[in-house]
Amino acid sequence: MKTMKFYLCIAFISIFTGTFSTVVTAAPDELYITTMEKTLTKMDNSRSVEELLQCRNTFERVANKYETEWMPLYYVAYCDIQMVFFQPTGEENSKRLEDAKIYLDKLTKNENADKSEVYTLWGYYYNALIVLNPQANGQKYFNEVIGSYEKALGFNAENPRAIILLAFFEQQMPAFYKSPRNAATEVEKAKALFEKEEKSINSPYWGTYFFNMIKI
Amino acid sequence: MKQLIFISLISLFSFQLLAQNIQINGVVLDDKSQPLENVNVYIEGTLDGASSAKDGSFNFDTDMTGTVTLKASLIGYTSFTFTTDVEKFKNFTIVLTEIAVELNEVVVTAGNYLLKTSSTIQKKNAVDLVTTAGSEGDLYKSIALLPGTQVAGADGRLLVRGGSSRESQTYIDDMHVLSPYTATSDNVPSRGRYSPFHFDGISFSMGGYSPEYSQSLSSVLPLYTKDENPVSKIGASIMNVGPGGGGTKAWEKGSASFSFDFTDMTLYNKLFSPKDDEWVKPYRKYSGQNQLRFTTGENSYLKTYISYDKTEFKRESTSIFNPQTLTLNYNEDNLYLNSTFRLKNSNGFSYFVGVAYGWNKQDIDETLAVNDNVKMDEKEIHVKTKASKRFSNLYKLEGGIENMTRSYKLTYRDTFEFSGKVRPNITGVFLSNDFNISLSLFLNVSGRLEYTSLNEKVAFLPRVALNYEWKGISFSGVVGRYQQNTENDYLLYNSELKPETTTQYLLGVYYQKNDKIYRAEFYYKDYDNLPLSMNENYTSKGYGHSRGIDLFFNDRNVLNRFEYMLAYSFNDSKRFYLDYPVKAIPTYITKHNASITLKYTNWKWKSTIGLTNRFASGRPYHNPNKEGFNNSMTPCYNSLDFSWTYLATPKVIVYASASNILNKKNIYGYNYNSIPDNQGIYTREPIKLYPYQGFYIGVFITLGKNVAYEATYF
Repeated sequence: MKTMKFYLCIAFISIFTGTFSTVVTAAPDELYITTMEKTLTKMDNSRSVEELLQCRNTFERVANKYETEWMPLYYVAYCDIQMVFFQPTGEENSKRLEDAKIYLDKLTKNENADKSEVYTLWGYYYNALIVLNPQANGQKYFNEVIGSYEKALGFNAENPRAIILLAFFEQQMPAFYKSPRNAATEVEKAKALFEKEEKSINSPYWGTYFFNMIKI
Repeated sequence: MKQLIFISLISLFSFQLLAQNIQINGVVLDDKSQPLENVNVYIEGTLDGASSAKDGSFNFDTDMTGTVTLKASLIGYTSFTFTTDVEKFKNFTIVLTEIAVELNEVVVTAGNYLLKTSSTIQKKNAVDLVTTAGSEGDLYKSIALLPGTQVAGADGRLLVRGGSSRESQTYIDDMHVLSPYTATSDNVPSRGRYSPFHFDGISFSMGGYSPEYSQSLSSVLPLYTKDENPVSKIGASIMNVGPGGGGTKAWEKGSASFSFDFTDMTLYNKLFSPKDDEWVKPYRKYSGQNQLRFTTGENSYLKTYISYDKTEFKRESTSIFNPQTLTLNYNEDNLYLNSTFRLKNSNGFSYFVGVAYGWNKQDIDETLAVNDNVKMDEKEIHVKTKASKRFSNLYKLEGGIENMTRSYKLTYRDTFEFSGKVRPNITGVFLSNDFNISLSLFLNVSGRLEYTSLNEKVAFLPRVALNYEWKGISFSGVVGRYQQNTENDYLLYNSELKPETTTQYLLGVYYQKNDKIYRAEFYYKDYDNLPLSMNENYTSKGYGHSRGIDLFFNDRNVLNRFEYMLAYSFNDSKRFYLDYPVKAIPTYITKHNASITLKYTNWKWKSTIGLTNRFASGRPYHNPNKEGFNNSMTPCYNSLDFSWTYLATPKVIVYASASNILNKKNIYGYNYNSIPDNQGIYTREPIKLYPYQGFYIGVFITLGKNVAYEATYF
């Protein structure tokens, strides 16, 4: 009888733990790792807004389950912003950026987040606002774009995304706005830093395609 | 060993039981039964989910059992949540409703302008407001370029839709501002005490406003300070009227800003004032502002705003009717402080608590006669609390309670002494219901109960607003009743005067496409309980009306670099009040008002250049040499204004403006001698600005690590 009680107890615990593990906020596990890896690969190969939107939805599900993780939040905001660059005249762009801001706000409050990466994404977000309406928003947000990238570099001077995005943005601006920074030097610096990076689910690695967009 | 095998089997079995896959499927539609693509459908707390296909269908497997919550979300639509047994999510239909952002927040309703908002998408820079020629860097002057406002009188204050300047009220962070204008001498236009750069959100309502705002018959100007100011900076300004400086210190959970300005008109008067204008002591104003901001939680903010200024001047004035020269000696102290706390909690409730204190003290010598003296002391304590919650996409409720305790004391000393004091107390309860009946139909039903201690009466002030959108065109109608205590100077004679009331009827149509905005509004205001002089005392038997039409067109992108704005207002007002013997057009009314504003930005020149022309038909005045009352009209008003903003370096901005560059001798009315001359004619002198033109130049320097092209350090 004693043995039977023991077996029942184990069975109960097994069932309970099996169920419980699926409903509470979870720490990163195998499921998290495989889902992130699979979705990042899919995102890297995305060539349309629809494909990006599907990746965004998966990141949103991951963000809801793994609440303390910052990377899923980061990628929801990134996909929202990237959709604007994919389709600059998209009717939904304002709403996409409203949504990006919600996730950027959450990301800013996440204590685990890499602050340099967060402010880089803020800069990218303000840049997208300018893309939305260059005539009206250019004058309003250019300072926020530069300020966010500079803040990102303040946290980590070797953030290749902040370096290349700032160089890219400054190249689009009228001559008198440009800083004394030399674009060629910045690009070389970013290239060297990107080379050290590897694809990871723990930190961003995007941005190398900006090398093709900067004319030196 | 047996035990171990058995445990393993049981564990495996239990997991297998739970891992039995159940297929979830269905379709997502919008409220017009059209399929929605790419909707994120998933079971809460799991990764089990999918994006809906083109035809709205979705299907995915889950190993969940029992009761689960299914969620569906799509950017721009309200989220869907449903909790039931997992088995029931088969052939399941989800309907998502598009978020009616514009209707939820009702940006466009009759009488309202959103000039500057904290929303990043719709953000308008304070620079937008002050770089408009004619604004002269002043908040009220930039607002006075909108339709519905009239060309200001010689005192420079806002006149809205047939109302006098005291019918317009200003709020900072929803708390009332007792004295929003700077002190001035006669025929010198006043300015707003508060810089537009101190505020993150500026909206302006010239009628049909929320019952939260009381004690205003014509317009309200709610100003909102920044909740967070994360950039530390320091700056200074040098203007032709004096220097200023200040800065912001930011830390992780808050920030503190301060600024001070010293205005000294000595140099300005020497350069621009007419020779007959005698300033014994030039106009001087010392002012300082401070704000503390604390982020007390995820969505909660505690802020304190303090502003103090001291004004003094001494000016000689002579009149053709009075051989004696008066030396006006003016001293004013003004203090305003408010403290507010806002919280939005996770269940969607928003709470607000605020307290404000306003104090204005004036001590003036020789206002009417040699050696006379006027002392005025006015105070107000305003306490308010409110809460709101959107219960669904269809309904939002907001309500609150507030109290204003005021005191006003006036003493006039000449060969005799007059002294009076009033202490009105106003308590109001307000409730507002928003109904988003459909994506295109919005209804607001609200009301206010207001108790006034002076006549010990409770008034009910209802308001109904309806907004309908059809093919991008918005139609809006508002009916509302508002009240305001009679001006203190009349209450000193009769403290039982009833609050002045107006019932407003507004009808508007709006269309906005790309960078173009078209607006047309009709209004009718019925005034009652206005002060009326009868038998050497004041009664509340005065009445009047104001009706008109406002037209507005704004194109923010012409030929790539131009922006222009056209505004026209027609007003027909008459009042039987004060010492009027009959119902007549008040002397501050201009029937036709028009303005054209141009702005040109050229990055190559680092410049924004503005040009504004403002026109108004004449004002009525009473000519005692003729039959009737308010029987004559001044010449038409015209002013061509110019402004230039030059971005010298990322840290230095130069701003210059000139008003009335054609030097038109605008006349605002006439003062008549009370005694006729030898030929029985009443002689007169014109009321005009000293000087006719205005010139302003300022250099603004802002220093900080991540600061560029900011005209403010606050």
